[in-house]
Amino acid sequence: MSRNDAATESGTANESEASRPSRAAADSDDSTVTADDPLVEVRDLKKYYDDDGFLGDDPVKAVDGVSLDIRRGETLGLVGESGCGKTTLGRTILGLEDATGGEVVSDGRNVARLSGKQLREWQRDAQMVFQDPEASLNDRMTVGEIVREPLDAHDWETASERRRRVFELLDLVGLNEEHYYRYPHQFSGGQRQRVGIARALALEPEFIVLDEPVSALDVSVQARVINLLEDLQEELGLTYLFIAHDLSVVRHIADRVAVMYLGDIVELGDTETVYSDPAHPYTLSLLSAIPGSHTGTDRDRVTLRGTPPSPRDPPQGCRFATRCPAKVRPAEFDDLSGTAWERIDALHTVLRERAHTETGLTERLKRRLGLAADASDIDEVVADLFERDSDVAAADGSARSDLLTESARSAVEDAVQFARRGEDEEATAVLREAFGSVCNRERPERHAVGDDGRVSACVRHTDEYEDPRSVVDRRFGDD
Amino acid sequence: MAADGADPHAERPVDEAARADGGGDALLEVEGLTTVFHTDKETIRAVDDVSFSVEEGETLGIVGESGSGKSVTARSILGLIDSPGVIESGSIRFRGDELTGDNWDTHRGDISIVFQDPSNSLNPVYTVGNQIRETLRIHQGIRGQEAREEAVRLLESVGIPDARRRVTEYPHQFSGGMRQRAVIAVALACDPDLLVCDEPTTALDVTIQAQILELLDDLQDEEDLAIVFITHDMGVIEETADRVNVMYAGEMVESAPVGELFDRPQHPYTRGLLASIPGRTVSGDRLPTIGGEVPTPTAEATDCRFADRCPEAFDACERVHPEPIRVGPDHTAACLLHEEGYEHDLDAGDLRGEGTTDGDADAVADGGDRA
Repeated sequence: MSRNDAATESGTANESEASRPSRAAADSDDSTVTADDPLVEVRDLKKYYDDDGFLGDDPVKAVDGVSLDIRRGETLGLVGESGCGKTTLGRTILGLEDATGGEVVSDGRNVARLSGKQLREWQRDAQMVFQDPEASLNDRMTVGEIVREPLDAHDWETASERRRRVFELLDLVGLNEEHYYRYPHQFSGGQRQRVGIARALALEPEFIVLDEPVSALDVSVQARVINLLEDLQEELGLTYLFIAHDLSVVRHIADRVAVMYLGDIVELGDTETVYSDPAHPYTLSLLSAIPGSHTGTDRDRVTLRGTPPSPRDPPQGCRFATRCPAKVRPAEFDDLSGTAWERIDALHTVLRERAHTETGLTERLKRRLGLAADASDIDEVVADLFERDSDVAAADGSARSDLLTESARSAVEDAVQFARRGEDEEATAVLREAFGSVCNRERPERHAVGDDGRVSACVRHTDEYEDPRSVVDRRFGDD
Repeated sequence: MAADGADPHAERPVDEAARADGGGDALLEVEGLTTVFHTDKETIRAVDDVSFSVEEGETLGIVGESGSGKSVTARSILGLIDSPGVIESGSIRFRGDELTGDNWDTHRGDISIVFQDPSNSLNPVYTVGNQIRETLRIHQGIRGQEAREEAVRLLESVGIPDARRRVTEYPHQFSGGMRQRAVIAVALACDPDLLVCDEPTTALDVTIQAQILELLDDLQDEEDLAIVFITHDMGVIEETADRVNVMYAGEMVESAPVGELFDRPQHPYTRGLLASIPGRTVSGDRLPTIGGEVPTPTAEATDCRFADRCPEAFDACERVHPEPIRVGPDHTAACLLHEEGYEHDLDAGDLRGEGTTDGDADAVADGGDRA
């Protein structure tokens, strides 16, 4: 608990101190924006999904201790790979999901604990626009009815006033009166998304969570919806939480950006600084993966291996350690080559995945009875990784001793011994013990980076270690 | 090879010389391809008189918005057009052999396709290995133990670790990126010379996309594959393609080597497409947009299909259908701006910024007129 408190504190302290100058420029032309005026404060928010299965599985930790401020009038971008908990975070902030722990505070109200009248108020103030305009509009209602529904639900004014309000809203999002009587299927994707936006605006909210609002649209239509969202923000003084996996869109629209990995925010800061000079190794690799030359980062691509681990069982220590290109390596293995580390990481991933595969009942039974033939498989994996290497195969079989040092090889062989007996859990532990480091033991705290209030959660920001950027450049720069 | 005797070049229109490099020993040659869909109301010309060629080991990118006919082009190449669709005219030649007119079987297995959504391209009730072996059996006649070994080798070749274990697993046990790798393994199991990839990374995260693009690149080097890569993402095109065809409303409006297309786009549509990508402009600025939407082509074109969205259109655009003409070395565009004999401002091309702002002003209004 104390760790979380510390992180929260340092996060807010940094934000309040450093954000003033950078926001000042924006303030001058938009009176609704005031520096350091959080509209929504998220503190150590957690959302676990427990499936209460009879096998007693661990809960899925979709959001696991997120703290951030959403400032009045800003657009906060939220990016990350699918499954990292972006959408769940957005929904939990709105109160569409019950938080497992932590709080969401807005205007002195703890949103997670609201009920009755106050809850209704919050539901008016905060709205959501969903990703898929196909699925989020009821096909059997006319567009007028769809946009009017929130007004009806909240008993807004009189029937004729509501009607007038709907026309007003349609006009606001660039549709017109005749669309009132049409059905969603008569609309194109971009128009449908406009209907979704009109519905979200009906009750004059202050805060809108936009969950991938343009992901399903073509680039030319997407550009128009983005322009519309920006116009509306300026006109109505809205605050956006903009969730997207498209990093270019977020760069265009967001003032600040939060990068999420496996249930937690790893980096948070002003969009331009984060994009032009990412601090966290994950942000660095994520941004380098954007295809095309227009990305503004002329760095070498750092291709992440594999996919994020399951949020049911996140890695101990740093969440990103299993894929991190800048992971701290123990000093005694300093002389191992980049290729060797890559192979060791690959073996680690294989063993981890084996230990966590969701196997069917028959498979479990087979294993219990010792019928599953695992022993030969693992030898093959090891052979693949450390012997049958096409680059070094020519070097007459001596390749293996070149790749691993004596001590590294014995550690790998220990792990393989366990794996042969089907004890993948233990095998993983052996590898982690031998090749692990501070990254596998401690969950990193947030550190202030630069002087504009940016925070990044990586141990490499402490003086003790080399900076993530230079490590990545050194390890991946020349191959 | 017998088909060569029929001289496929005989039917070539004269102006074909302009787009020219295609002749000779191209792996795949598509000429005047027109694929239409007959409905009760109308006939939709999804692909309308499209010609291009793919050389051995080359990657051809096809880019365009949804509804531009990219996927129908891909399916046409593989003969996957079902009723009410039909290839109305044109020719598709693979290694010189004509494929249209139900000759798909002559090269079945030489061309393979990878679809967008990996979860829909694998059968959930068979193991991944089973599905690879099925392809091996049908296309290469490999069975039994040999097929099992080959399936493992294929999974390894697409970068799936622990392949021997994975080959016995079902698609749901694979993550999205792994599934797409498995789909590629199935596609490779028939040992193709040409791989058609229809938005293979659109459903994937950017990190996984990078992995898949890297994989395709490696496979191309190793197996000397030719790839037709279809996507709406200009960034992906820039990274993968050697040359690019831009499609609009069933037609090919511009074709050029990738560097040339990005540096000197000659068709107003291509310019608009490139400009509306977020991240290319300074953030804070409004995004340039193209007003309106891709029309559905229902009749043979008598005008430029892009004219009513085009910021540089002039009156002849409403009357004359532009043919692809040569605008640079190995670079064609179908736009009257580049044809002589029409009255228009030759500097129009430089009005880019202004022109798109105009389009933008209409953008909100046009939300209305197209339901």
